[in-house]
Amino acid sequence: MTLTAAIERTETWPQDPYKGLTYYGVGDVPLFAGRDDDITVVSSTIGLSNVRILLLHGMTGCGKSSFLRAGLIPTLETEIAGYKFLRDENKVPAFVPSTGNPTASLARVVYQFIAREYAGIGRQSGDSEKIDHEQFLREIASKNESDFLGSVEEDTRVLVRTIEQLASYRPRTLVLVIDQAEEVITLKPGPEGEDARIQFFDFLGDLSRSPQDFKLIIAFRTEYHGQFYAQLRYGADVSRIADYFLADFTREQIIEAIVRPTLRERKPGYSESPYDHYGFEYGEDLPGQIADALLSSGVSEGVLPALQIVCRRLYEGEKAKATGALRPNERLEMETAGPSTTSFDHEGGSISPPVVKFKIEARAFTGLGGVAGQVDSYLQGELEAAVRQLSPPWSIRKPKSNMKEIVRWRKVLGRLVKPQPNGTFTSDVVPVDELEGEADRQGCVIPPKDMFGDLADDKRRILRPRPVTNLKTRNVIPCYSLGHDVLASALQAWYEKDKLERKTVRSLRWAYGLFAVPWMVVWFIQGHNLRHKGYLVGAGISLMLLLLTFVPSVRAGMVQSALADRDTIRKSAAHDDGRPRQAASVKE
Amino acid sequence: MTNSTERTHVTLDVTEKEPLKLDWRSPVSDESSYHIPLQGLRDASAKARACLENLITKAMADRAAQQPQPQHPQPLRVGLQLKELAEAGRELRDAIFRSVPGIQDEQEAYRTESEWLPNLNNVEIHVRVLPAVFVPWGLAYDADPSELSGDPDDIAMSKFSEFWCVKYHLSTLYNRILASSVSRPTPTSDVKIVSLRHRDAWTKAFKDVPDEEKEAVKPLFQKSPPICSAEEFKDFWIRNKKRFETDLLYFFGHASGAALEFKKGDTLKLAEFPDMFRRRPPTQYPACLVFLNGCHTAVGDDNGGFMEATAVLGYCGFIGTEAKVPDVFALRFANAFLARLLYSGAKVGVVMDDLRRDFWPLSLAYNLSCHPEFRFVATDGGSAPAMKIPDFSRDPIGSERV
Repeated sequence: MTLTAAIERTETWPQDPYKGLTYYGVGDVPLFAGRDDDITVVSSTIGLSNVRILLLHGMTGCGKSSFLRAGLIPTLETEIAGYKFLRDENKVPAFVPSTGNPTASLARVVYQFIAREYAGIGRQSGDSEKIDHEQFLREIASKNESDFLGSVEEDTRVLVRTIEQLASYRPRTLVLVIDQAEEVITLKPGPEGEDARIQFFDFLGDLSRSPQDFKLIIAFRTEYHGQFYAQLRYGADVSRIADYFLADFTREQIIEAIVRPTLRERKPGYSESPYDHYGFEYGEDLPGQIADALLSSGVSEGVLPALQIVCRRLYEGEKAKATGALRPNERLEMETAGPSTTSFDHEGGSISPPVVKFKIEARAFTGLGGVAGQVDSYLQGELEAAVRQLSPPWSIRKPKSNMKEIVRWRKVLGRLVKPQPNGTFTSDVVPVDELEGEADRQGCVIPPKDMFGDLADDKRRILRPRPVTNLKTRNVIPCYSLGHDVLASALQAWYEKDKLERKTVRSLRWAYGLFAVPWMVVWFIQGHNLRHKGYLVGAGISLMLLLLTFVPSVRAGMVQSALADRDTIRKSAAHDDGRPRQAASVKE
Repeated sequence: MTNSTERTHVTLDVTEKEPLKLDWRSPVSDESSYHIPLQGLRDASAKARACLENLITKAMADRAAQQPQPQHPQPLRVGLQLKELAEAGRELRDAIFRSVPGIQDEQEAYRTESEWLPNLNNVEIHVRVLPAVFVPWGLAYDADPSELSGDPDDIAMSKFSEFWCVKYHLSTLYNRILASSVSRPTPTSDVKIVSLRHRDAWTKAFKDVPDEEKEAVKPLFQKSPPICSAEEFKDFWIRNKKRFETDLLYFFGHASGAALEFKKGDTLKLAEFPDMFRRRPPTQYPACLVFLNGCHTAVGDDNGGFMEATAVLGYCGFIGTEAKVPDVFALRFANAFLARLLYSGAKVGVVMDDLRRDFWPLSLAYNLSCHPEFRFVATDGGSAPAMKIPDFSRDPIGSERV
């Protein structure tokens, strides 16, 4: 055994070699690649005793969540040890969703942890004369959540003291994580969000001066780093705040991430190599080609989401082909065994299930058709799958109606796109009932609850549940955000394209109208004068075509008008035509 | 070499400032956590260091009074001082387990002292100190010191095996360094040593080093000439700032817990260290080890010490001293250390264990404040150059302190 020795156990490989838009989790550590230097630097930084707060920032899509979940957290908790991240109800490290009021979100998560750990636990010793260190935490556990949130709303130092007590009387150094903290700036950039912002940065100021040993990691988009520091420097002890910029992947790191699931070396603790488990490899130089394509594609949301999507689609497509080429009995054997199960022989040794072996060649990559549109293709694919799964049986064989349903759901998702002053697009956090209302307005066939549930499933992660805590009303509002900010950009790009297409169609309709109306009049007069049925029929057909051409435009105009009225009432930013209102704020 | 297999690794994390939180952890047992008052630990530390100082003073005084001849060896007669050190070490050990009042802390401290630690076999303790609190953890003493004879000649190491640095192969580190930073060792042939010297102190001590030892250590410093002034070191630093590829930074000279002296009036102060020791990420592997062979380099003060400066990114800690050490002894200890570390391929923790034995009892002055798994890869057959183990019953230990 060495200082670094892990407990000996046989690990299993994650089911999928690439994650798509889902972040890497603790179970994906062996597939997580390319961040060793970052982990070394961040763990060394966070280890300094004076550091209380670490600002972890990077461009969208640089993999902050994955870096924390599959990189930093396992390193701090297992390899270096000495740290313990606050757990959620599933006993996994809690990522406090920022929302527009991160203080409230953090208070709620901290309260729930204390309630789980200390509720109903009385004094352990019969000696009532002695000091009881945990009494403070037990008293909090005995309160209800609403009362605790109320006391934090009155004075955020209550939350500071609670975290201090928790840190002091739990073994190891307590670590808390607030994720997507830019939301404190982006969700309510105007005066209506100012109270929550001031409260949050005051809270961070108090936290930074605490003598207790704990760490708060705040992950956010690098564009907001300046605003964060500008706010922090007023009240916080900046010598106790460290920050780290998580840069985008270099070419070498991209290649490392691409080839990791194809390596033939066995990792300690694993019974098989990644290649033995996933059964695929890349053609010569293909990882380099993919890396070059990703770097030159100009995807503005970071290369990692595109990398994950491209590699996942390549893997799934080629695997399907390879499996399809098998004989039926071989395929049955494969399907029965499944990709991630391990069986055991009679001597207790593990036997790998049969895995179809295949090689991904360059032509498969060129067949995908470019890197830039991969996020939208991925979104389309997931929506198609969800619609196929949830559509009423009578509509399954109607691809056209399914396509219309997908367009409607794209518009519903458009409610979650929020334009930022710097020209980028982020995800908004919108209450579920508003999204359901939008689905009704768009005429969606699939019940919204079913669709939201499916899209929020981990296998798709198009949506993310984001409950928002209101400290004033002490309510928790169920909300959703997009699963990843890159989806906001993809939806916006689709919307722009769709808008252009609709504009083109409208122009064509007008052109057709200008052309058809005189002819219809001429045919009608001629038919009337000459008593010739052929002219009358021609005029009738022209009239019908004209009506068919213009009715959708009229309807669209009515929808636009209704939306504009509604948006005027709500006094918030809206777009100018059939697209749903953007930046719907969470009403607190 | 000491057999390092089959040890149970225990980590003691010391966090917070007042009271200190002590987290005991081992892969084969549950965790234990409690708080202790800082002042009690400080007082006990000061007392232990004072006793160590007495021991060294007595050894130097004896040696000054009588020069041993090869045919009439004179062992260092410090048995009484060792017993006093053990008594102070016991107080230090009691302070480590004396919790602040309160149910949970008292229960946990008692459990750790009476059950948790005693139930583990062949323990190796790695202390990670987060606040700047300088404690000679290795001088804590587990047994009852009244059982020691106190006879001046009774100095055998086996009698004093309850000192934590002997019993638990103890190492201390400021910060929590990722083990991977020391798991890619440099081959000996590529090792870059930067040697900083107080020229006069080194020249004086070097005269009393046996010739064969002089020859043995000569190759270690051939790659780069020694640096003998603070200004020269700063220049060296600026020139190599972008690519500071030093594997071992070695200082020999007068020092305190907060400054290194190159000559009278030429010092490198603690406040200058953060800039001098900073390495830019991405870090160059492996981490650099620092050996500060001067007086009191592991003691520090309220403003911090070398522990913090040598535990930043790119470093894995340092080896320092808990007391004022005699110059010849210090130089020979360092020679043996460097030769064994470079040519044996052994981990620094193992090398220190061996030197603790070979240089007993004055070796108690040295403190391993670095990652114990740091090592180099021996490329010359793995054998250290011929160098006799010093016999301080005959050999001089030095008349001045560094």
